[in-house]
Amino acid sequence: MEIYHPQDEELLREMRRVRRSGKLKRILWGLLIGLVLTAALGWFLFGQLFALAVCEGPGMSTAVPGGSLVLIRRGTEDLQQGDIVLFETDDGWQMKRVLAMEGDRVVVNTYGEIRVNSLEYRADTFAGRTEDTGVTTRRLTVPEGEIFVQGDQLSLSVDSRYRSYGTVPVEKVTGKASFILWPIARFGMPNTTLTEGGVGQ
Amino acid sequence: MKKVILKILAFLLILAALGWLLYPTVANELARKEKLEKTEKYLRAVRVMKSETLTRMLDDADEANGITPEFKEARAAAEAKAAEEARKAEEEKAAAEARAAALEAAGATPEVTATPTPEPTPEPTEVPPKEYRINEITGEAEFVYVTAEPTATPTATPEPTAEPTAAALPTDAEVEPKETALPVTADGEATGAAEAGDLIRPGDVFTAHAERSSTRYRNLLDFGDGIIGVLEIPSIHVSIPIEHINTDVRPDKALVHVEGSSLPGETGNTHTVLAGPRKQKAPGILGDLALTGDRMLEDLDRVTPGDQMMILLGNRTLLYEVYNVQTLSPEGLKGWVAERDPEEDRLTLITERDGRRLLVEAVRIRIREATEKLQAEDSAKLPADWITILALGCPVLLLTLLIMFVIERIKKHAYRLPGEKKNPDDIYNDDIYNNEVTQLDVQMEEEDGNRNDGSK
Repeated sequence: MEIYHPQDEELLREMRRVRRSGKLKRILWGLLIGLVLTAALGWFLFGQLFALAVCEGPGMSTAVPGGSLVLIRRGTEDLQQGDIVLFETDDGWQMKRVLAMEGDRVVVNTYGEIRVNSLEYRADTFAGRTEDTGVTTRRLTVPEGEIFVQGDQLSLSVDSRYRSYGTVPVEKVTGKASFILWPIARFGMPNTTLTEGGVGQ
Repeated sequence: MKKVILKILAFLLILAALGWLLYPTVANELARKEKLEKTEKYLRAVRVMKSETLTRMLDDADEANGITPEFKEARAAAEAKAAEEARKAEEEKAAAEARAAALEAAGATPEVTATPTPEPTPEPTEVPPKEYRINEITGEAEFVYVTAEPTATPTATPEPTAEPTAAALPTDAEVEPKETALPVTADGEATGAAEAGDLIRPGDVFTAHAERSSTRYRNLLDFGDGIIGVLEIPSIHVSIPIEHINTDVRPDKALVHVEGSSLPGETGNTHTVLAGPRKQKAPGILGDLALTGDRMLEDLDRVTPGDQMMILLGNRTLLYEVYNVQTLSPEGLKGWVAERDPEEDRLTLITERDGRRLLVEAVRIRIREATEKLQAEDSAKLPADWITILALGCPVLLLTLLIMFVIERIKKHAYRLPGEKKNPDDIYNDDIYNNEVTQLDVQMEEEDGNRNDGSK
């Protein structure tokens, strides 16, 4: 029986052909694995760790303009005063800033000042005045397991300053805003520091 | 070699397509950034301002609007009284609720105490029907939202207002072709604002001759860089600084306050007119090249009666509700009058739309009466989980594809066969690895087999 001994060039070409065959199959397999990995990673990251929210409305329009895409970090263990939080209400979700935590004494006085433990706080993005709203004077201590929220647009935001709105239970809080993805002008971490000091001198 | 060029071309084409798709967005966002920075600067300037300075600026503006101190006092007293009554009602309601809660805790069934709580009148939530009318001045058809409010449209006779000189629509004899759009005093000098009792007729600000506004006007409500305040329309995501009109600050470039109309205020008997372009060029060279500019009042035609608008004025916030949207031709705008009502503050936005002028008219409402609406506007939407996963998983997917591509390229190089050229692309031009041809070669070899004995 004649054994065919291929010459170098034929061998070369045959080996190339073999190498190229099955490429499509490899690509398809790789794609499938990629999709599965993506879905798993996506589910973990964005189902468990993070959430995305689109924030509308004038209540926080200075810090988070209407239509902004915000990345929320789920979890309420390390909530602090000054954080922007996403929480659930009877009519859906809202995004506001934490002004006081449980146990803090909050006083709304006749001058439209909001004092938390006798101190006034403000952030750079505050605008407007509480006096322009229909908020009435009150004093309260934030109950256990609840937080006092306030929108940056003091005149336009309906929040815990209103008696009818009240404080928000922590279990209704999805998480805090850790990054603003859109618009580009607000890209980055939102400012969460509140400075002590009055609203206007 | 051909294949390489084709691949490069394809890559460039895809890049160009992506760029063409994304570039307007990028240019938009850069222009938007400029606006947001201006707004931030404004808020910062307001924050460091002394409250006396702020009050004085607002008082100066009121004076320029022709509001006498007595008028203001009367209005302020009426406002304070209304505010006080509202607060008392709130507190009574809260006390009644507390009593009911206490009764319930004590075991007795709480009686529903009929405390007459002043409910804010429910705002009309439906869009009123549009009506097409013939404008008496221009004879052109235009659409007008028909609302319950007995507010004047250019085709109706204006109701009695504070001006004793208020007349019916100006007849042809009165509408002189004006060189400028500004009202003039007896001296012929353009005033900073209309005097009380005057009719404000801004004219067609988009085509009016660019007059230099008076220094006095420009000093009023100047919170820095000539910015009066910030206009916000949440329903169409608008947040634009308002500037004083001037020779170089025109309504086709920036959102301007029209000199001659009232400056924004809370006193009543004012009518503020603002005019702005549909788009704004992005700053610098990008704007010159941009295929599109940042949205200014482009979406203004999506505003319907019932929508809210705000003007941030210093540390005050003025809330307006739209009651009428209409389009006028430029001639119609020339004849349009900004009426004033002693108990209302009005706001009109004007922008261009297909060669005509779009007017959005709004009236100021008290914030405490709009609580429910404001609460409903603040919302956050969470896109469905799978959308989130997909949207943010895309970069991961693309990364996986890229990695796979790189692996394939590495394999190619790693498995380079002896004698193989570095550039393996010429292999695609080889049609010799076809089995048939190899067999033919084998046959030929066998025929020559005698000659090639011993060779491998």
